[in-house]
Amino acid sequence: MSTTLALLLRELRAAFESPIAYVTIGLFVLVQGGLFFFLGFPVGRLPLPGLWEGGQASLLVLFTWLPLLLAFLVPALCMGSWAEERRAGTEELLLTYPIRTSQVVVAKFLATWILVVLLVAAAVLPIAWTVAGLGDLDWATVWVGLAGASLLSAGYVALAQLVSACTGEQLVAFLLGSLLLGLLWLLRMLVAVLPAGLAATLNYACPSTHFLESAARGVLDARDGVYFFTLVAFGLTLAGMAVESRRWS
Amino acid sequence: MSPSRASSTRHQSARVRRWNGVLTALLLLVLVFEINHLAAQHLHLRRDLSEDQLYALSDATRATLARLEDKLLVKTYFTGDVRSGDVALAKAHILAELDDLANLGKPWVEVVHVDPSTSTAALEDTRSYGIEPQRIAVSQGTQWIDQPVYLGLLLRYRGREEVIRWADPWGFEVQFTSAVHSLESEHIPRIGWYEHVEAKVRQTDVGFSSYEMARNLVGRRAELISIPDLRDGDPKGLLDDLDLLIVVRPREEHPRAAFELEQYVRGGGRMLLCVDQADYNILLRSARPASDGSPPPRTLGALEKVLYTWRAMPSPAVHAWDMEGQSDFQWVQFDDAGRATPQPGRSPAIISLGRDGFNRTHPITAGMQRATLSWAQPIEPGDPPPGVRRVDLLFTSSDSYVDEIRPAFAALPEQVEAVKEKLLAGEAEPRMPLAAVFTGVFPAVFDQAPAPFDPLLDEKAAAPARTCDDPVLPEGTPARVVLIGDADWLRDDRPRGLLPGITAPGNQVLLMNIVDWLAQGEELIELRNKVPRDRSLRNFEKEAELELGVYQSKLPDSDEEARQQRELRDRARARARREEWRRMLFPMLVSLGLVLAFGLVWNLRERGRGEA
Repeated sequence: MSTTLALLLRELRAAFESPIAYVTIGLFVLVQGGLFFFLGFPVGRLPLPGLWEGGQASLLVLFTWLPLLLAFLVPALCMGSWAEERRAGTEELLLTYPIRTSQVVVAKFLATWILVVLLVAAAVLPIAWTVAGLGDLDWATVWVGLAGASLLSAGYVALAQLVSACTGEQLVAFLLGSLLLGLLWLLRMLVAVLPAGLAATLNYACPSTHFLESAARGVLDARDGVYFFTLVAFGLTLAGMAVESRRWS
Repeated sequence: MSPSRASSTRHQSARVRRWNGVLTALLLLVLVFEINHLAAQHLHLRRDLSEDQLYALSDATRATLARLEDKLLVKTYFTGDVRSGDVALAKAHILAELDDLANLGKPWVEVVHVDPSTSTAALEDTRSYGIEPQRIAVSQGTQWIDQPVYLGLLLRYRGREEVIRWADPWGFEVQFTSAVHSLESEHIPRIGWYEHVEAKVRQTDVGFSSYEMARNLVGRRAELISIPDLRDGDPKGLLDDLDLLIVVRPREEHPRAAFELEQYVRGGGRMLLCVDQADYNILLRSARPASDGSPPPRTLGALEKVLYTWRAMPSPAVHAWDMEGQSDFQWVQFDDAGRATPQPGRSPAIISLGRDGFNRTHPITAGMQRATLSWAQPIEPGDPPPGVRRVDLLFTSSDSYVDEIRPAFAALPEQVEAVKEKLLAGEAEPRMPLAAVFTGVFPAVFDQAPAPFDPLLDEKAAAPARTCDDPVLPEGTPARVVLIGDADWLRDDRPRGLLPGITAPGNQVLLMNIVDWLAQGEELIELRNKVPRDRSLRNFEKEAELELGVYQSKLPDSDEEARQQRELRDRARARARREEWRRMLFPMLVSLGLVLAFGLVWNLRERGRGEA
């Protein structure tokens, strides 16, 4: 446990020292705010207006954008997790230490997850306070939405870690990670043109469905918890296997 | 071992490891899929923590299902293989909700699924129950699929049946609970519908619409009886067995008709009375003239005397303008070739009631969020007669005025602005009631029964009434009357979308709430209250206009004054935009500031530690 904690702190320290994190976070905050206040969510069958146009004190638009924005943000924060270690040659050193691969994988996952959760909270809460000052905001929905966003982030981070563990270049890790998460986001948009059986399955497989249809509206559903837990377990197990295979090759 | 063999073995073991990895990944995927499949089937832990509780089953549903004492058979007639992804998801949503409802109604609720597209017997059943398929067209790749889809349900309880012809995925709970509620109640309410005879004769006039949608809505859960003209009395006794009478746009009522209505209420009847002296034609932008050609306002005839005695009078010859509640509509512009083009309009005479427009203490309006009335007449303030209690239901905002009812209404934006400016120059009214509830024993209006209409004498409604020996109720019984100073809110939305009628947001809920409160009980009102709460944002432009006194200034007497008023408006607009920008930039700057401050502190500390 203490080893994992030490590794987690090492990863967090590395993340906070990197300028990439600050640039990404700054961009995320600006883009998210702009989209929320001005554009709304003009994608899909039921487009949502921006805050001023819609005139309602709700963060639904903000939460609706979150899965797509995180599909780019999370790979950007995860791309260095393994790929950079490999490029710099520190991965071999790390794996020669008397620690289990799973501890390293979990520590890297937790570090990025904590970073993403803090970032989402830092971006959403000031907007929520602003909206609450403009109208009757339902705070319960905000808190449940943030809880759901943290579960969504966990799933995304696990998949992005997997991609990073399988690639040797940061840029490739970012591009592949964004592509994978972007495609998962897109599944929800394709439901209307897909045959029914496939539509239901893919809709269920899409992480944003498990966020937007429940937590983003203030609903806690145990099935979403199971979904994200299995997604994290899947991503981390495979990431661990990918790293382990290199340890013995 | 030779180096070549060692290398080959290493390659083989690498290949084996790779295949092992792929197989493990596939096995994991199957495991993840299976776990989620099981969770989707059996895990029903779900809690709606939001304030609006839109995704939780309401107390009314729980109470309705808790009252079941016998088996409730629910037969779903759903097409099994739905080709459209959208409809398939809607179907899955309904089935999941039905599961929740069946769990709640255990052990009485039994659900049976039948697919009409695979069973001839089921297809026959759907025909006999009036469950019609909807044709769902969807393009999938190069294929265009047009499929008839069934989403109907039959509910059977103690030998009685209710049919949901097309399940609405977003209103299924209301449909289901209403059906169960109806099956549980022993009595099917009888609701009378009374429209003025002239309106019925002329309802096909261009631009005037009827009330078919409202009638169908009421008729879904009640036996709807059309009450013929009452000027000849009620020889068939239709009013006797009614649970509720809905009177729509009465005018120039004969004394005998007014007598019948008054006696119905005196006998403990329940009445929804929608009074409207204006009857505007949205296409022609004019009011319908009376049968004798006289312009509006139209009189209520002898009914006025009844309402006056009850102290339940809509303000005569005026309607309300609500500057804050002004709403959208479409008016029609004709070009030289006579082609009609709908144009968007916005008028304070079409009043959109928001959260503050409803009485929050009365069951009818406690949960209402929105409703739209058009050219509504305020209800005259005043104390009700002894024995009667009055509660006001609907209100204009405090930024309201009254305007006279005119032969033609203002539709063009400049006309609306002109009337607005004229009204703004006058005195603003306090919040005006647009609807009120009267309960209690109503005072007697007639000492003797008026004689029925005599065509030979060609009596006018306002003519001195002759009387006859028909009996008059000596004692009153507690009754309920809901009076609304508008009838347009009940109209169909024909011509399509031009005027907010019964399809305007909230109007159907208002109608059904009134009907349930008057005729059936109040439980279903709570169920219908599941609508998102109005969470309107502050209107900075309005606030700036009030602050700068844009509306308080009198009408401009000169071009200079008009220019000054325009400047004031522009200043108010600019101030509002500035305030909006300030509000937007604040959270973004706070977020960025937090992140930067954290980064700075962290890096300085780390640097200090490194140097140490």
